[in-house]
Amino acid sequence: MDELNQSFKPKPTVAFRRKKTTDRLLAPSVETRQEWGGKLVSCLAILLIGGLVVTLFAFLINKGLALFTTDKFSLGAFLTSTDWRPSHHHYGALPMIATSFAVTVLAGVLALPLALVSAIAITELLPNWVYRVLQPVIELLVGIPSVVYGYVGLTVIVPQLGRMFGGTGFGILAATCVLFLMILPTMTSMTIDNLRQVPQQYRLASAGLGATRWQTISRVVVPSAKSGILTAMVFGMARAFGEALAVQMVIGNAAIMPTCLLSSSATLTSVLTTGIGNTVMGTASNNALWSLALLLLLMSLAFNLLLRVISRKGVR
Amino acid sequence: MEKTALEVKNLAVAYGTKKVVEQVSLKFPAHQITALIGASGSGKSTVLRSLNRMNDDLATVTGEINFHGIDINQPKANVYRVRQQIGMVFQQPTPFPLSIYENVIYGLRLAGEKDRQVLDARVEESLRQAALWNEVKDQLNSSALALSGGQQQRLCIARTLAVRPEIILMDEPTSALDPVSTSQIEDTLVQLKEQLTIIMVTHNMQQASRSADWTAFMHQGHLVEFNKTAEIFMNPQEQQTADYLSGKFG
Repeated sequence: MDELNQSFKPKPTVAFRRKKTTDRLLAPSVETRQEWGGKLVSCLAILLIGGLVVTLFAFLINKGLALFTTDKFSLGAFLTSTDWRPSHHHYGALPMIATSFAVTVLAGVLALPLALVSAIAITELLPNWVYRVLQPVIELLVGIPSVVYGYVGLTVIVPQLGRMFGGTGFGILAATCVLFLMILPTMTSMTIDNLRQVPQQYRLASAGLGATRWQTISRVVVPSAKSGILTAMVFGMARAFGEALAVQMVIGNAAIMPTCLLSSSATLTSVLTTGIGNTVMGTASNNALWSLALLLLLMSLAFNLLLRVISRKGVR
Repeated sequence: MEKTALEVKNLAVAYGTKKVVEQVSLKFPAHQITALIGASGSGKSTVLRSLNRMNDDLATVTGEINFHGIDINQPKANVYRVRQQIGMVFQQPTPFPLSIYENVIYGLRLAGEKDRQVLDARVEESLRQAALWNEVKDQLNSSALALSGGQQQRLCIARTLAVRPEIILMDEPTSALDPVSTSQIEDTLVQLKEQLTIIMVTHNMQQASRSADWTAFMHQGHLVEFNKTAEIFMNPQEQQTADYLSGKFG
């Protein structure tokens, strides 16, 4: 120990160096205080977020179940009845559930192939500068507010559908078109990212075995990115399911069971946005809207779980 | 001189305007292992990749590459057929995220082979040739990514062998592997040369002297010396070769 201290030759002018090594090792320092401070701030932030989530859930569950507990409306009827007339105390949510799923699935199924094909073109076939130009453009499209998409739907798509198929043009088809436009950039961008993550060596190895470009894409690149592409699709569909404003603008807002793609209908979200200002807090018709909101939350949770399952499958 | 598997005449490769390989002429003897050695940037990997047209999208390759009397470097050549005949194994083991079985038959599937018996037989044959069969025969349907690095590289060799190429090109096939896996692969290569011709790039002098019959030394894009491995190592004719082998540069 003495030898060690001598070999360091501490300068006596600097105060802390005069202390013995053992003291210095145990004394609190600026660094340890910073560590503690950092931990404290992080914990507080997590508490805040966690608290928000917990209170949000508690509030929505409390309000959402009031229709069944306070107003004694049957849960079965809420989920299976097609009769939504709050003025007559009929709260059958099935038309909205069905419409929500219809627009979501249709938009997702339409957008997936297009997103996949454009992503393949951008990552695999076109020169790299196309990617560098298009990626920011696509990300810009992702960030456009939904009201803009809704407005385009209202002024372009709805009249056009009316001219093509007759009627007003409002309905599931118009909502599907708007949602398709909205989620296509998200899904394309995510699919591009996933395809780019496929190691370049897979492409080389495949080409080295005599594969054509198309064979490499269809047999190696896309299968390797499969779980990521599915994640992109579910992510896009989750966004479509939760979209309120753009859908409300073009779907016609008639809470009846949809019979065709061109008849006015309503989704869970569009009924909520239309109705929440027109009801009095605490009444049965207001509680019914909260029940719809709870249903939406549960669906978002289901989408999230699905995403988790898919992306975990991708990890080997 | 023995039968020639592949003959290169005046090969030159340029990336854009930058010439990286010039005036390389070589005859690769059949059923032999030829090692391409040289410092980083000497152009040996570029030459190797040109031999089965893997440089097509990256560089301009001029000169003749004669395979069975046909210049496969001409634009008319069917690159996909060329690559089936002249296979390639890369530095990093690159099994696809598929089962071991599907990895091995990848090239056969590309060629349209569907007969299950043919596929089964070829899987066993190729895995035996690559000295991997005994280790994986009970788990052919499990993911190839679960194998160790050395096993993955032997799987990649088996995958290349499955299409029955005449020549296999190897770009530093063992540089990502530990010594045990390396020596297993070197043993495999020596056994394989009965069936085919092997051309490999290596940074490892011992590997070249252990397993290669012929060695070509490249320096700054030029072929400096090409001879039997023993001659190159024991009695190099060029000063540059001698300097490189004795570690004066590289």
